[in-house]
Amino acid sequence: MTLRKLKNSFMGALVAASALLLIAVLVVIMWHIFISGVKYLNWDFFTKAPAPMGEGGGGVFNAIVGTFLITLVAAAIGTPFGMFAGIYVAEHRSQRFADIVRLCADALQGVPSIVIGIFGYTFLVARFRSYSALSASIALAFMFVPTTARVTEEVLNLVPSGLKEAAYALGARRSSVVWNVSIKTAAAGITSGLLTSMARIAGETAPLLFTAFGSRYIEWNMLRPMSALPLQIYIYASSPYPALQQQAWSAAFVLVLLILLLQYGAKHLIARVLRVKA
Amino acid sequence: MSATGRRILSIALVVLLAAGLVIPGMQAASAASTKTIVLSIGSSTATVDGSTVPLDAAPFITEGRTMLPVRFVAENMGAGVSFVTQANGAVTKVNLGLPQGPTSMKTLVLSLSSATALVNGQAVALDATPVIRGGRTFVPARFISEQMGATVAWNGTTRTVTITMPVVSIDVPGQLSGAGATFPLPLYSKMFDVYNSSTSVRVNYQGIGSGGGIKALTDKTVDFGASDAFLTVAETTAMGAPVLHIPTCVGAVVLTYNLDGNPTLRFDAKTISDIYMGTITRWNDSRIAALNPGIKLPDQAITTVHRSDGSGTTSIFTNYLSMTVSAWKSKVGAGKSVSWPVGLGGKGNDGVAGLVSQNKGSIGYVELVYAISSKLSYATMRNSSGNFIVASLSSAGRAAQIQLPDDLKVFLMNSSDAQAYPISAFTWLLVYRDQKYAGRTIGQAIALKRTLSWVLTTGQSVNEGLGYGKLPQAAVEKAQKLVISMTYDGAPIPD
Repeated sequence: MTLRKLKNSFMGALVAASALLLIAVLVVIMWHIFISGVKYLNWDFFTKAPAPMGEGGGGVFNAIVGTFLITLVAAAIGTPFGMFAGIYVAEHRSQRFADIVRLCADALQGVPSIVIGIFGYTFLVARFRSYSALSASIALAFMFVPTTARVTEEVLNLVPSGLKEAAYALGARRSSVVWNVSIKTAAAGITSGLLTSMARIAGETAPLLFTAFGSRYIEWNMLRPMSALPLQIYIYASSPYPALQQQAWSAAFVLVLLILLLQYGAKHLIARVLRVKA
Repeated sequence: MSATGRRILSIALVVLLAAGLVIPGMQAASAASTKTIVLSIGSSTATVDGSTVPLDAAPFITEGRTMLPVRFVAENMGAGVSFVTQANGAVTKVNLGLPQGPTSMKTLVLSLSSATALVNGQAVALDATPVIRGGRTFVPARFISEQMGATVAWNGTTRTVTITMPVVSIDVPGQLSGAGATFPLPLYSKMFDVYNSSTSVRVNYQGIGSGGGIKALTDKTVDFGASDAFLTVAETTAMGAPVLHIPTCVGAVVLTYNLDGNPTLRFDAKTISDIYMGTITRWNDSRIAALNPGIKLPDQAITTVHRSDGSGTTSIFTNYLSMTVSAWKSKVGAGKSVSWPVGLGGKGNDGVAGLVSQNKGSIGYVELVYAISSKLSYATMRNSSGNFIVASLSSAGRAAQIQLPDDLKVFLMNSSDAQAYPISAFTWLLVYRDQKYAGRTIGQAIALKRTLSWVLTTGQSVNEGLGYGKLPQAAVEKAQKLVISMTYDGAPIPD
């Protein structure tokens, strides 16, 4: 009896300690980024392009523009593919091909981002003889599609079969059931999945190193080299100038904030879905 | 918002996005126009479209033919010009490149005192032979004009020549990209910022390492590469076409260390080699003490730090040791990465500087600018003349005060100059000599040539403010010759 209690309390403490450790790691990282990053934030930081290396001042507006453009275009390219694949898999659960699609999505999700980067370099950058933001978006879309497909499928699986059966009973066609019942019900969930996937690709560095290349200038043309926050952090952190290393922390702070906002938005939407279901 | 409204909004967004991708490609083609040039015989001014321009020499008539100074042809008629000279500097041939369209170029080769020219490789008879007068090269006006598609009118009473030539519109792009060495990154970042504010041309340089820059140029994904080491035979072969090495500055590699009291130490190549080979293991070794009389060295183990990544800095450092210490050459050798007998590896100049500042008793090698900006102390080195030299802009620049080969592919380490810092080296921009490759236009070639010329002249004033040695005048002149030797489809590129 005492041994069992002892075991129980020991395991309980272990589980609680692990949970605390998880929180502590997050808090330490966030705190450090906040403390190191927030000091150097100012208006210029958000609105100006970088100053030449070694000179004070300047900002990361070029990288903020780049992160938004590259991520949005990647999402625009990836969303139809990911969503339709997810719908297909959800609607043909029993079919062999759907299993293969699901397996492939999982495998693609497991491909390291650096490999996606080399792929982007070889098939886009080297082929078209130019680094460009568009090639970065396409490379990131390859990371975006599998996560979106899997999330779409999972959310669609949550749609109560009763709802769909009711629609069929009223004489609705399959396309109508998919569009007007399944997707409508799961819309918020799918959107939240899209946001989570966007948060994931917004923080990627490796594919950008090979494709977006970086630029000191504020660039709006997707066919030219462009900067992005993770790239800017990488360049600044390895520069010889302390001022730039500090700006790297500030850029990290901005990036983390951006990703947390996206994820918070996603969580918020999921909560709404759950309420609708209940 | 209604469902239809939302649908319209989303369609509008998609259209906007697509437009954003397409519009930059739709640059307006400027309409063809003509240029009118009026020259007077014996007058050293001309009018171009009504405005007066000076000539470096007046046109003259010989055997009834008007002769034009070739420089005028280059500056006012949009031709690219280069000269073939003998060893004594005498001009034997004039090469002219006449742009015919965005990617088409006509090549003229005129030989001095020869009545036959080559037009795109085909022999064509000239109405007058090119000559040199007063140190200027003159070419027949009518032949050149007609090759440009111009009409020539002679007015005997006013003794004027009127040339009406079609203007070939060449779209010179406002963007260039380059990649490579991290060592000159702060310099290029500043240089191209100045260039951008004076010409509004955006040169985008990314420091991805010398090896990465060479790879990017080989893959033709950038306009120029940059490297601290000149191309190896294998790299040259992989490029597939001749590549020019244009030096931009002289840099120094310094030995930085972490000792209490930050003494300024003196070293020579043999001692550094012994330390990096692991035969000197403690700071108070007699071989170090002998070079540093009066400095109290601690009884502490030495930790050597080197670059873990392939690096131009490592190439400079190991080549220096190979040139000066035979044991190093036979046991370790030289290259962008070598197998180190002892020590820790750090990634990048910043990685090495970081490891040194964290470890008491460590020693590492970094570029001068990294040591200065990280406030690390660095050693004085004994040079080939036996003088102990502090690394500085001027002592690095002195290393280039030697007889330089025409292609400027030269090591400056262990320079024979008595005041030179011994671990100094050029860093180069790499470009293909012939710019017609991978669908590049004449405009891109012009933009690149202009940028390189600027880096060698006005751009040099940026060097010293940032901790890089200026190129000596002899190196600048040789480098400018290399830039002029760039071609497009075999013809000289217009300025």
